[in-house]
Amino acid sequence: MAVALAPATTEEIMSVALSRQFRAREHAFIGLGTGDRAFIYAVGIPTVAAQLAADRGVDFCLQYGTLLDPSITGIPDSLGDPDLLDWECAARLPVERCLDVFRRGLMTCSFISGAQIDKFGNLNSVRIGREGPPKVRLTGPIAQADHAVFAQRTFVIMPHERRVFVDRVDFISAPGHGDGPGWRERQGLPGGGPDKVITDKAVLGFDAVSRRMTLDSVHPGVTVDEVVAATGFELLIPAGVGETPSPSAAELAAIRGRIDPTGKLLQARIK
Amino acid sequence: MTSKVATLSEAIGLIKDGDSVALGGHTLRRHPMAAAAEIVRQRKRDLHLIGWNSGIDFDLLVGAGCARIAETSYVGISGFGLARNFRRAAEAGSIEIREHSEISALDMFRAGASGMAFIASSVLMGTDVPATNPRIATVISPFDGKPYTAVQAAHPDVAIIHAHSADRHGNVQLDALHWPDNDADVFVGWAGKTTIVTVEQLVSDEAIREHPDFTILPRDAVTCVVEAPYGAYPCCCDDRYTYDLDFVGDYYAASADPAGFARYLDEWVFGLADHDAFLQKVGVDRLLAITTKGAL
Amino acid sequence: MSKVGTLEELVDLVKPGMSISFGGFAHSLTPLAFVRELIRRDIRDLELIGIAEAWAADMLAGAGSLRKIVFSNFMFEGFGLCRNFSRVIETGAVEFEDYSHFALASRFSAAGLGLPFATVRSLLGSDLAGSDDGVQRVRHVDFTSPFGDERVMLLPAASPDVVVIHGHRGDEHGNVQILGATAVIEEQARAGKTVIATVEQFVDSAEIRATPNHTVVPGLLVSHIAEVPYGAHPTGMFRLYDADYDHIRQYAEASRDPAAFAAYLADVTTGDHQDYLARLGVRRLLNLRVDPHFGYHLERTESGWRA
Repeated sequence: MAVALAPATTEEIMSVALSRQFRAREHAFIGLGTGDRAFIYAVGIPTVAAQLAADRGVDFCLQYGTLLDPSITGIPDSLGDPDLLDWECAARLPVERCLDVFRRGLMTCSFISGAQIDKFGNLNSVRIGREGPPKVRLTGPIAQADHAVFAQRTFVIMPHERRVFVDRVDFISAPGHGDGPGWRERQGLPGGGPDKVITDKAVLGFDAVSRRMTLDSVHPGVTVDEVVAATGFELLIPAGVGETPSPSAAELAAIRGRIDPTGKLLQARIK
Repeated sequence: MTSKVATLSEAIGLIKDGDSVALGGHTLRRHPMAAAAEIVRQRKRDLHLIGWNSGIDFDLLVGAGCARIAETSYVGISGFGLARNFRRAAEAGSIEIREHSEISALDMFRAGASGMAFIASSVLMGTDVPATNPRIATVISPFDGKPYTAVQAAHPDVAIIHAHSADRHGNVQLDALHWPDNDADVFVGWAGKTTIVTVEQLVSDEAIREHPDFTILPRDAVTCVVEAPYGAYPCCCDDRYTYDLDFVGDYYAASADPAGFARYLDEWVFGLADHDAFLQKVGVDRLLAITTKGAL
Repeated sequence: MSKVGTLEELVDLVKPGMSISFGGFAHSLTPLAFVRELIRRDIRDLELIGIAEAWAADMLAGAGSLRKIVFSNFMFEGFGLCRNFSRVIETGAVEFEDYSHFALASRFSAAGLGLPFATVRSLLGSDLAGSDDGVQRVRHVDFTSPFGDERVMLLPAASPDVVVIHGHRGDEHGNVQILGATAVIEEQARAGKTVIATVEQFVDSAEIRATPNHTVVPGLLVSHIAEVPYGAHPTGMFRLYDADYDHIRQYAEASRDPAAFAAYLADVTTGDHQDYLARLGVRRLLNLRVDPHFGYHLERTESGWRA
């Protein structure tokens, strides 16, 4: 059936970009956070990306909270316990075993976020303000700290705003590349640190030598200047930065028709 | 065998001002909310709260002025946003916050439950978290000479968890279906010097002995058991009931400013004699609406 | 057309003058939320073809809803006579027919099987059916078996206009699951011209299909169904909640006196079922919770548990 598809939304562009990062034989972890935009970034986009990757035949193990390989599209309507317990899956791990998966380095990639990120990919979800009582108290380190320490690579999904992309985070709750080359090794961090940062404006990576954030591509309709203006530190911009690929008609049809028909994931229509 | 059955008021009466008090549960899941309300009602002060993934439980106790220290990996009201009482107290400097990640928070209970002095791993390395928390230190492994993070065992003066059923001797069970994030409670319960367990229902010895594999805490790990039906409300409680997001939303709105929260406390805590009165005010309709159907 | 309706919509199906029968036995399984709604609407002139539903019979008798009672045995187990029921018989306000339990069940069975009559021997030799002076107390025919000279009695099949049952779980197709002893519910449901079910909980049809052995009344027999939690109160539902014996005691006391009973009825029929539950209150309902091992409520005492 030929359907004229509406143009891709930003969240769809982000999902498709993230889906290209999945690799076979990885163990990917998605947390089960709730709430509006934070849910879209932490759960919705990684979930749609995972299904798109699975559709392409990438064979990876997916862990949601304590669930192993649940039916991705079967995500329940609410995250209350009775609904979560109805979610069909291969295994429901004891919580300590789930965290042991992190600590033993079995989690190869995960998806995290925060209130601040800096040019080395360090994240802050604890406090705004360095000294004394915080100017804004945030939620706390949660599991993001564990992902950032132990995962072989993390993908950071955040809104691209100047107050979010800061030169130095006020508090490192989830370590990125610290202060540059060799920092993670000196700290003895087993994981590899942030690999890509996917925002509502661009896809960003980290320079192999300086470990500073670089611009990989800008989303359709977004200019390099807009990205620079929304970034509170000096971004490395290689020559000839391209555009993030637009989702194909088939990908859009899959997202809208099968993966997220009710907007649970990309519009946070979940309770 | 002596009975370990207590009233909620008697059980919470075991807490002294200044005690360290660990609370079970996870985000908006199975926090011992009836017990937390009773702590507020008894106007406990200067508590050192310990949790692994906290939420409305910590926010209520901080907002009611019961806490001096909050030690956990998270305090938020899930989808609604930041925990407003907690945020206000943090920004005013009126509570000390000792940070954790999920793993280090679980480790302190796991070590406490297992009789280990500390658990060493690479957790929290490279973060600013250890500087906030005296329970976290760097150690050099004598085996490879490398630095690791040590998380000291927690032995809370009082640990409080909410579970599904118990017999009068204090053997505590969870139903076959329970959400694993809530299972940190097993470590929390084992770690306490005094352990209070509220349960949905006190049941016969036969009911407990019919499913011995469901027992998470045997009676010698439990100081007292209290029957508190819907004792996690408005949080969800595994396959028994889901959360009441309308109630949480009203709580969240009330916590926007101190005056609004004071009114909330008057209406929903101080104005009600006990947990029964609280449930009656919530009402049959509302409780039926969140209760899981289909269990035979 | 969906079979699912509200309690109020289901009660709309009962018209004055109809014959009606209810599920229920002793202090269990009785669709009393439905009965309270019938009384609230003041639907009268009903013919109750009742077999064991003492609660429905006594409440309707006390409310003046009945024109005739066809029955086998009504009593309040542990509390003595059904006093409203006895009173309307004693004053002659209501016509009645006495049957043995099995004879009446056989009349339902015959209707359920599509037979013209039931062949029974239960009423032989007693005064129940009639006496030798030719008085017919119940409609019957003395008959000699065509296969010998054995004497039997033929009773007409009984097919109530409406049969109302209350179950534990149901689905939108009208399947009704009941746990524990079910009394004569299957025979009643098969006999009814219209079968109405209230259930404690609606569940997904898949859940019903996963536990088909609990389905006592299949959806093909049920034309309308409503979800009515605590719909049997003050009678109990095995494994869900126990009978409310405090309430039953109050009822038994009130039923000794027409004025006191009228006051009781006025109280329990004020507002709808939700109002009724709200007036009972959370603690009272929680006190009816059953022990998961025993299936009924246990009272905790100093030394242990007491049934």
